[in-house]
Amino acid sequence: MRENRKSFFGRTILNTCLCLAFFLIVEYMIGAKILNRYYTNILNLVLIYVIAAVSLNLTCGYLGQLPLGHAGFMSIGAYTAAIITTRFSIPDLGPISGEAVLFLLATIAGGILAMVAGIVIGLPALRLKGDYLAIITLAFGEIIRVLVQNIKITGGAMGMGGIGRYTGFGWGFFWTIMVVAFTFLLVNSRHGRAIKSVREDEIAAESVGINLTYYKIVAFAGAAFFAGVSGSLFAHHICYLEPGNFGYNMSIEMLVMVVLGGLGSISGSIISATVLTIVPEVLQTFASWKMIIYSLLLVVVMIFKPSGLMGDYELSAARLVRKVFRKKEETPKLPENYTEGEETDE
Amino acid sequence: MLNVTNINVYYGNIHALHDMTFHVDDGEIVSLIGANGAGKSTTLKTISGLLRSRTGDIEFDGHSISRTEPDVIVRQGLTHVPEGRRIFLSMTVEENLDMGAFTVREGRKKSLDDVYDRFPRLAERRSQIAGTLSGGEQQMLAMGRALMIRPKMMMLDEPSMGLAPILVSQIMDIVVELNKSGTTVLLVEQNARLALKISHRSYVVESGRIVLTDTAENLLNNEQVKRAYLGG
Repeated sequence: MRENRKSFFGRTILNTCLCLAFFLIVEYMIGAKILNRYYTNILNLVLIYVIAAVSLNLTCGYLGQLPLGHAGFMSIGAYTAAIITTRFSIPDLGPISGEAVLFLLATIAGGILAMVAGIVIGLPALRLKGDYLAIITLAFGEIIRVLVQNIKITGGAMGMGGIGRYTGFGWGFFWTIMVVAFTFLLVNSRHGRAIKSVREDEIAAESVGINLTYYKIVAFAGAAFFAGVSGSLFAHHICYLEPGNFGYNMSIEMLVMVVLGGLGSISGSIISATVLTIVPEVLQTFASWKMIIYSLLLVVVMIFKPSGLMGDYELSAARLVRKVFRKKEETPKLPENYTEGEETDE
Repeated sequence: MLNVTNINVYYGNIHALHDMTFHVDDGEIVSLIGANGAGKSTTLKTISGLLRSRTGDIEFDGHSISRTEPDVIVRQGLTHVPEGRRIFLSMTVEENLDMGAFTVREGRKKSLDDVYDRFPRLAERRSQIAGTLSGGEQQMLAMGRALMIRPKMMMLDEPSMGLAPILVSQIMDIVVELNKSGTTVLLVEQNARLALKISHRSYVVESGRIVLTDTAENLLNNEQVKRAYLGG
């Protein structure tokens, strides 16, 4: 069912207000030192992982492919952005900080380079089905890691230091909104329906005239772009890059976040990326138990909720409001297939 | 309308279609009949671009389409209802139909109304999830989805598969109606009697070759066909 324009605007305004409120509250808490530096760090890390997980959900959940090289794209974005911010500088322009502009441009550049890499490996890889794509992307991630280890500009195996600590809550939040909005608008558009139909049945999709390769590449490249962005944020969060940062494990971790949250649920990815980033931090004191608890958590969720925490359900602020205010007026209609993901729930 | 000339299709090293040559004229219902694994579905998949032939040529509506991408072929008005229906199970009926019109920008509403006119059952169930439809309804949906582009020609792969006899005859009636309203039909069926009853002409396919062709009427009375495909 198509929703009418009015409710679309209503939802947009509602969600914008909620995001803004969330942003202001957190900013205030950081300013007032209610959130100390340690918590702010975790919060930034959460946002970085949310961006990566939501973007991976696009290829994994909506397109239905199994890529294992997400960390490779993050790595490209991280190094690209870091190289740019450490070598160039932009003078301040009145109230606009040159540093911020540089960081924005560097992040976009990192995203674009990751996207180009996504297109280059996606073109051959996405023609293959199932396991082959997983293997190719896995190999891609490793190739990037080895490449980074052996070229000069990335500092080789020594790593790359001296990166400015630019990633703050503001940037993290901004890009989170970007990736959520992009993913949400894409998957609920006509093109999104085509992407989902590829997941449902490739032969059927092809027989109604959907260009499989094109839509696969669109989803894959979009995911790669935001992986690059999250890589850039990561680089300017930890300020020191080494090739090992973006190994095979990180790709798997991303995949776990997506699967745990629910394939095809943006809010699911947000929630599980949040939980899975915070849990290891909280368990820091029981370091030896950390992996056991982490694994148990996964096993338990997969046993009791194999479709992930959220399945393909989305949290919706608009629906909540409707429920509260119109409880008596009308009975709920048929479940709508798409609803607004709410960005403010971490 | 459709001219297939000497196509040879391989699955890896396996030679699946041998020098297939046949044609479908404007306004006809033509059927390909034959046993399981004879190459009927392979033929349809090759025409719609899902498979490629190594040699030969396929011409549709005056253009060669043997090297054309599947989505472009659909745009030219040749649509394929694949075997096993292959509707999008987790989408609603209406979303499925909407996907059918993916390649056309205008006149969707009209197409949708036409499909609902032809299949009132689908109209009743427009917001139902397609996976919960019965087999017959799913077949209707698959055909309705293909009709959304107002095709010049429709290829149907085993529309009777897995359906109760009453539904089978309903589906066949629909095919005939479609044809009367101007759609050329290429039908693939294992149920030879059924196919011959509604076709104008037919080709008998065996092991990837066309072994016999005639008008449907003649084939129904052909001793060889009777023995092999019509049960005596």
